[in-house]
Amino acid sequence: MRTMKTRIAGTLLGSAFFLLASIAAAEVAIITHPGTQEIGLSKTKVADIYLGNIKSFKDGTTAKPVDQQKGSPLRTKFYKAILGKTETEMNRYWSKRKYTGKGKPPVVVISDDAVKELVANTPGAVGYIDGKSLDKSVKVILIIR
Amino acid sequence: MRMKNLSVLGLVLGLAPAVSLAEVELSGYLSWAVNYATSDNTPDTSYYNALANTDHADFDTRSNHVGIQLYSGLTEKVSVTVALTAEGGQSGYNVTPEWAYGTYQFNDDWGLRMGRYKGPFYMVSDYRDVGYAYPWVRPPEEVYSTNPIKSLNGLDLVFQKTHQNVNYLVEIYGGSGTSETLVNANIAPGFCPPPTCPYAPTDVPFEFETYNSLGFNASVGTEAVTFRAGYYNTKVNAGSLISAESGSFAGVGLIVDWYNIVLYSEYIQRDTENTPGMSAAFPDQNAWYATLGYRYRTVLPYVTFADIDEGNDAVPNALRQSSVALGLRWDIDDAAAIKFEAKQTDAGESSFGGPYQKIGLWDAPQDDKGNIYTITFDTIF
Repeated sequence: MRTMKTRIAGTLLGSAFFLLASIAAAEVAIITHPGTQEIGLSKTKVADIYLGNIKSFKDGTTAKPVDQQKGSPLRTKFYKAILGKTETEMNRYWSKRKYTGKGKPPVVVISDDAVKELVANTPGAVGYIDGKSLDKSVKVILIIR
Repeated sequence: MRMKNLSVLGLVLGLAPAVSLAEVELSGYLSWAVNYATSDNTPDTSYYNALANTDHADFDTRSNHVGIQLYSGLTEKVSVTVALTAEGGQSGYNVTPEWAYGTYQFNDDWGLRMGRYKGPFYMVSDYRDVGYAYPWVRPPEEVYSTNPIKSLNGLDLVFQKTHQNVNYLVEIYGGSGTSETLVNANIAPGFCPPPTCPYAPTDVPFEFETYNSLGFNASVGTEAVTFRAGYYNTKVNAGSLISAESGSFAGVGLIVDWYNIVLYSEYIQRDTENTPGMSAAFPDQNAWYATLGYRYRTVLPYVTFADIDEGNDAVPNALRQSSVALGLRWDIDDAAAIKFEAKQTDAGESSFGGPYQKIGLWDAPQDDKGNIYTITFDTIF
């Protein structure tokens, strides 16, 4: 239900700005704050940001990964495509780290709009949204088809 | 109350120009276990001093752990982490802040934790209460029972870096603390060993203080293979029995998680001063375990071989036990697992003491065999 709403909202917002929006619904766009200097980040680099292995960009800005809600199809697709990992594998990864002070999983927000708002307003933030929700408030790093 | 909280939250959100990342984040874990033990010893031995009495299923809360962690990043460099953990005790749950520390992150690689934290003595020591994080129902007791210290009050300097897909971790830590373990009733508090006093076939709680401690924990690994080494040295005080005597814990370990193959193995040495008090309560021990498993979809069957034996100084109170455990971890959900394990222990032989001397872990006299069956439910939230 939430996904449906997101998609409808995303379509209305996104299609006005981007051709990308008209492409298949299952597209995941990896986005960052407009001020991020390093664009065209590789898949491995995005993966390392989401694993907490890369903590800042070359210019010194702290990298702040943002996650969609657990169980959302976008999240599942993102983790499979970028890290080759399932939710269970990610839970195992973080359960060894977050209770020992060795890492902190990404912040979780509830919708494409919330991801966009956070990413647009937070220097160093990285997120992923449905390609249809893209607009000019954020910078695109990668598109997963 | 809820209304009030919501309106305060609304006010905060309303005033903030952008959505803030610096909020309090809540997470937690829960592990629940039921144990059943049988033994060929007469009279009946017990597991963990009656944690699992023989011949009835035991729901003693001592194998249960619940923790709720609060994390708040105050600035990009400063954060606070507090956990309220409840570990089951003989009379119910004891809620304690098992860890409560501030972190100062100097840069991407270096950070300093100040406060109370879990000691990274062995490979999984700092997350041993988070059952979800490892394959076993419990970390193998032959190795993990040798260090009863859980938390330290002090400092922990952490270096973490990933370079070309290799993760490096070096931790230098130290501090002090008070811990409790179980020792044979002959040892504490009066220290009256057999044959002066009759052998007491029970364990009693034993409190001790650690201070002037210093250790390191280092690991290097890829996604598939991690090597780990650590050393920890501390001074110990315990009533009139132990006064400013030292002990150390050294260990090496390996974790492999490669395709479907899962391997965990560790070798440790506990080396304490050869004084009457330390040799009675914390005798020298060498211990190891090796776990081999095969992950197929949501299930991970495994076998664990483990052994504890006398260490550098052979003393009467050193424990000798070997065990084989067959287990299965089943991930029933993205964030929950049920585990089954059957473990057979075999207490070794000792050239010291009489037939009633405790040789194996859990009060078992020499040559005693025991079986421990455990089912756990582990989740994170």
